[in-house]
Amino acid sequence: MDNARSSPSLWKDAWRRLSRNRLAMLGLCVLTVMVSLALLTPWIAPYSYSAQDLDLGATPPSGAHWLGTDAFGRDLLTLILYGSRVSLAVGFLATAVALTIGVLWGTVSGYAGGRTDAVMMRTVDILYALPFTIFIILLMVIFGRNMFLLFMAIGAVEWLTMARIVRGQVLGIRRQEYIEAAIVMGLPRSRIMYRHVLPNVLGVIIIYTTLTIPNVILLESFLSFLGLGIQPPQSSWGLLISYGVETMEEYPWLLFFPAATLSLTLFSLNFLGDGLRDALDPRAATD
Amino acid sequence: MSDSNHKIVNRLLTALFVLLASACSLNYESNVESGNRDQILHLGNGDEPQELDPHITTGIPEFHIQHALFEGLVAKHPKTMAIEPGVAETWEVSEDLKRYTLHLRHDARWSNGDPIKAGDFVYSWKRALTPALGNLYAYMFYPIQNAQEYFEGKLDDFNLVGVHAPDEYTLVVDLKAPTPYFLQLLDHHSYFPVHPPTIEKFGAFGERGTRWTRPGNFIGNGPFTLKEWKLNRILIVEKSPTYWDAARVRLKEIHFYPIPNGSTEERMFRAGQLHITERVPLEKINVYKRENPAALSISPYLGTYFYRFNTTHKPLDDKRIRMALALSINREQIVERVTKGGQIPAYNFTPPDTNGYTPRARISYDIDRARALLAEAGYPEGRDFPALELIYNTDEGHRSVAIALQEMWKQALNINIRLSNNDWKVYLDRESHLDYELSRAGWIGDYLDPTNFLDLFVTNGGNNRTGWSNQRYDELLNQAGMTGDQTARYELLQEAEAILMEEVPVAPVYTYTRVRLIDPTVRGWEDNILDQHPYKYVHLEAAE
Repeated sequence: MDNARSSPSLWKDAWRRLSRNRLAMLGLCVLTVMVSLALLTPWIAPYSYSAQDLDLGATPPSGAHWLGTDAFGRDLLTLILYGSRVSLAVGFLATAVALTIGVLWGTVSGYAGGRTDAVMMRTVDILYALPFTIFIILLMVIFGRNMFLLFMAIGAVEWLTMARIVRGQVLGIRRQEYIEAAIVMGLPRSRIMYRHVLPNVLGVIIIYTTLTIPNVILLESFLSFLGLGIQPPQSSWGLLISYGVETMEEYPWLLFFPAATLSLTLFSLNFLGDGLRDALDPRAATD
Repeated sequence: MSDSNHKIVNRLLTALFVLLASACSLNYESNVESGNRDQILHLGNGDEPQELDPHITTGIPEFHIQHALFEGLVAKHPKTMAIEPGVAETWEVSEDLKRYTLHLRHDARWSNGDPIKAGDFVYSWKRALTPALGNLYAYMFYPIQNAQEYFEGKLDDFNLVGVHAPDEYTLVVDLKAPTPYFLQLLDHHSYFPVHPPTIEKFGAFGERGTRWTRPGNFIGNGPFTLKEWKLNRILIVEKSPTYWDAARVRLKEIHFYPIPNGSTEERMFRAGQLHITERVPLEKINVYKRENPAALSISPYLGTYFYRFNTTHKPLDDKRIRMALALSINREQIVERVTKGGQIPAYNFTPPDTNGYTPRARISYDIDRARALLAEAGYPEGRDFPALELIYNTDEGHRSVAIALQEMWKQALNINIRLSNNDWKVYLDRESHLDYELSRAGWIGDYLDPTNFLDLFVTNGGNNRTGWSNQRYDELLNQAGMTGDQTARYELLQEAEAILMEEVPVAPVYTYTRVRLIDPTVRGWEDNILDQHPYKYVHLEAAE
């Protein structure tokens, strides 16, 4: 019950500070728009994502096709909209997987210390040493190709860095007086971790998360390019960009618009992440 | 701005600089400039050659190099592809067209100075037919009496095979049946001679992958000899002083670069690093047509781009379904809008005018009939049709054709196709084990004769890979092999082609063209349908 009484003020506080940060709010708005567009795509997309018009071919932006068409005469806006569903889903879900495993692993390892820490971190080291591509290819070969597995595979690789960072932070926080005080007061370990350790590493976690999402989006395109991710006519931002690079000189808009969309998302995430870090910092709570 | 943003901005800036640096042409002398001065030809050669042994390889990149390093009994005219003397100066053919007597020139030498004897050819062909060597092109020898029996192990005595050397400079070949294209086979790499002492020095007679093809060890008989081979970087051949026609050879060296990526190759060409590319990326073809048409070379190529159907797999075991798929390909649109390299829509399997043979049987583009057939086979309007998987090897061109076809089939028949790209080796493996449903494929002619194409689909043929088998078809090809009269032979082949187009184990898409970028300083590189370019006629001439 104690928890329920005091939390609202922390989150309310954080929201108050966040809403004062203009860049962060802008980022939040852009992301909200992106996500809603992605969710509404089947109803708002101007064309079908597989519909080709070979005779039309690649055309620059025009009234009929706002962002132009690709070499198959497919509407680029439609492709980007459908691509956002895949990319954002992969980005958020795979990051969520990485976040859950990484934070748990790092907190436990950092807080427990000693032999537990050593074993847990050596496990991370060993996994680090596995070549990423081969690891994912192995997973795909064993379990077959599907979208869900793609999230899991990417998440399963991305949590390693997260675990290390969180552990480092936790190691530092553990020696703080207020933690010792909490221990003296006889609070259970899980409660100390949840109430005192986690809020203090939240900033770092958020920053790293906002960096992981674009990473994961690009990873997906790499895997799809190798034939391990999604396959045509389905599309994703990463795939659109990698095709765009091939035809950069002939059809620049095929690179520009998908890349601009990805960059916009990336910046928004970063601004929002920055804002959240500042807003959620418990040390700033008394300003 | 936070730290992480700085990092990203930095990364973007670095990327920009790298782009700029590679876009600016640097000021040192390019390969093309120095090559023109020293007569060194720089060639893009696709993939890294797996091996140089002419009795082992099957690939095109290897063949390009072997043509410089070896010479067969006969050669070809660079333009007309007519047979010219090679190691053999003259030859006679018996009246029943089954015995060839070839007279070797006395001045033909190996690159170490040894004279080339008729016995070397007997030795080499015996090696090529030794089962232990596992030559995938052994079937090229099957027109020769008892060659097939020897290769299949039914015969142990090579003396019974129709190849004999009555004296040092005469070779007599006895054929099973009159084979009008036999002389052409002599220019194929599987018929090239190898130097017996060198083979023996580095391993056993039938041993694969010995070190005899390494620089320093290598002995050949072609206009060029091996100088340097750096894996995945470059392979250099230099003019051979012992070659009998060395006076005609004007190039000093040829540098072969393995460049599997088309865009990389095109950038190298633009930077003056290559005289000739192996291909041109699809999206660059129109750029060159517009801005540098002189460098773009598009020539007809004896090859068919097609799709294989796995006829052992439901529902593709039903020929009506296969026909429906084949009928709903808009080939005109594919060549004009997707491949754009001047390819010719293919409505039958053998390319038109293959040594005077143009197939009459045709698959048309007829959506109405395709829909009717699909309905007849139990899938009206594509209802309940299982989603089929289409495999292709990783390549931007194959992917584009596959994406276009996927949508054509969806529009015409309302059926779904899943695309799946595979690594070259995985793709070959899946195809030959019939572990696929639809597969993209291509076949390039080794010699100018329709049997080179139609032979593919005989029952259990090594390159059939569709599981298709038709007794009448096998009979027709067998009969054609026994017939010496060209007109009668072609009639038999026409009938076979009609069966093939009736049963559609494969759907032809287009007849290849060879699209390359060629620097205008290259002379004597003639367009021809086999895409073979005897290097001894090539030289470089810098514009004044």
